Amino acid sequence: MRKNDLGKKCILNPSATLIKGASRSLICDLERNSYMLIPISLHEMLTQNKKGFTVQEISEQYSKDNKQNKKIILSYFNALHRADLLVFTNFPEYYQPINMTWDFPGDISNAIIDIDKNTTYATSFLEQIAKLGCPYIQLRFFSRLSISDLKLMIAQLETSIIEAIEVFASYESDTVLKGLIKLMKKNYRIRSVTLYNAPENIIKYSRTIGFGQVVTVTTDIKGHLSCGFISHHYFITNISTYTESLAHNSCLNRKISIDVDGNIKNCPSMSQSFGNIKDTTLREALDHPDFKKYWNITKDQIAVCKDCEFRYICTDCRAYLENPEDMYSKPLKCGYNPYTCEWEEWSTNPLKQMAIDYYGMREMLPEFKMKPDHVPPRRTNPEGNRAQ
Amino acid sequence: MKTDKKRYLSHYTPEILQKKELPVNFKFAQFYTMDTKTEENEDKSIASLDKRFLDIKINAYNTDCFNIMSTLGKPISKIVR
Repeated sequence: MRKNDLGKKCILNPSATLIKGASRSLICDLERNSYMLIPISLHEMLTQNKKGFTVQEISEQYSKDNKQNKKIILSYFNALHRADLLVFTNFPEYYQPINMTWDFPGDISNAIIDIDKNTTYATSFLEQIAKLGCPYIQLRFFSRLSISDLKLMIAQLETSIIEAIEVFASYESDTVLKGLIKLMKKNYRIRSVTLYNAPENIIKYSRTIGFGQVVTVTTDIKGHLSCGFISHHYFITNISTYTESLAHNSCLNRKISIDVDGNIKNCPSMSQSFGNIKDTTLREALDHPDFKKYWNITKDQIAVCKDCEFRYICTDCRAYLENPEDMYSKPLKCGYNPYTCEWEEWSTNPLKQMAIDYYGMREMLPEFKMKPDHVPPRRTNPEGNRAQ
Repeated sequence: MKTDKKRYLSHYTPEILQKKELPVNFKFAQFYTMDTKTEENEDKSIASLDKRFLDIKINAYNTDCFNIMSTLGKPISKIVR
């Protein structure tokens, strides 16, 4: 900070937003896709006067009783200034806020298609997905991937509005890998290929300037049960995701899925089906009154998440819940505690053992040593009401 | 900070820049109304609204620019840790 800045009004950069958690706060730079954890005291300083304040005023106000505070406050503001999160000006009214409304020009924004060896339905649904205005498709192969089948599917999308296709498949051999890379080079719609159960975590091929890549990962994936992890790796700090999270569910909103049996669902991991693709169109399923049941459940309504500082940059999961009977329960696979600010392994949490058994996930956790008998009784909410 | 007016002119039409509020889902750059002048004439330079827009700085180094264009901008599923 320059000396002159101390006497000027200080406001947050319009692209920076604050999220208050139970024990600390988060400041997100929505245009640089970055975030910074800050103490709640600094959050209060930044929000107490929306018309702006001078750093001098703030530091004097907070250091009346303790002179040491002045130094600390200055270091806080210096840190924010270095991250370009502050603006010093005599005209704070010139800095207009970013529009925080979210919308999408289509009924559906993303679709997940699960495929395994028993999947027999025709691929005509791809045209239906395009007709719903969906530009992003994820194909998840839970059996051996046939490159010729994949080619046929992609050929169907040649003249569609589909912008990007992500492919998840099991790593079989280097021959399949080379075939996929060749296919990706010819088809710019394929933006990402992830091969799981691979011998190493490595980027095998990357297009120039970030337009997609082929990655192998050692992760062992066992169908849709492997989905729903909440991790800081999935935090997204962009305007689109942030604004969507404010009013909608960050995972399920505008999503449609077809599971390995052809059942049309909001998410393939969910139990409720809205018909089978063999006899129901995607439009019919989408028009079902319950299809959009989860679309507007925001993190502000979810137990524990509502106190989390990451709630608007984290993608939710309503398929696997800590309390399966409460649709407003915390995601099962989240190990973050916003009250202690610590990340823990979710699968070893005693409170989650009943849900792990409920969803049949225990086999997925071979390293887990605690017996289900040791699980303490859990709270239940038979009416499925919001947890208090 | 230097103002990269050349880059701004090549990417953005004056119509876009006249909007006081950024468009929804505006992803490709950062708009700054940062001063590029010296301390003495800074206030004069932003006193005029038109002048202020000429001082817009585009941060084209936004690294996720291409990723956002190529994907949904968020994970479609959370299957790989």
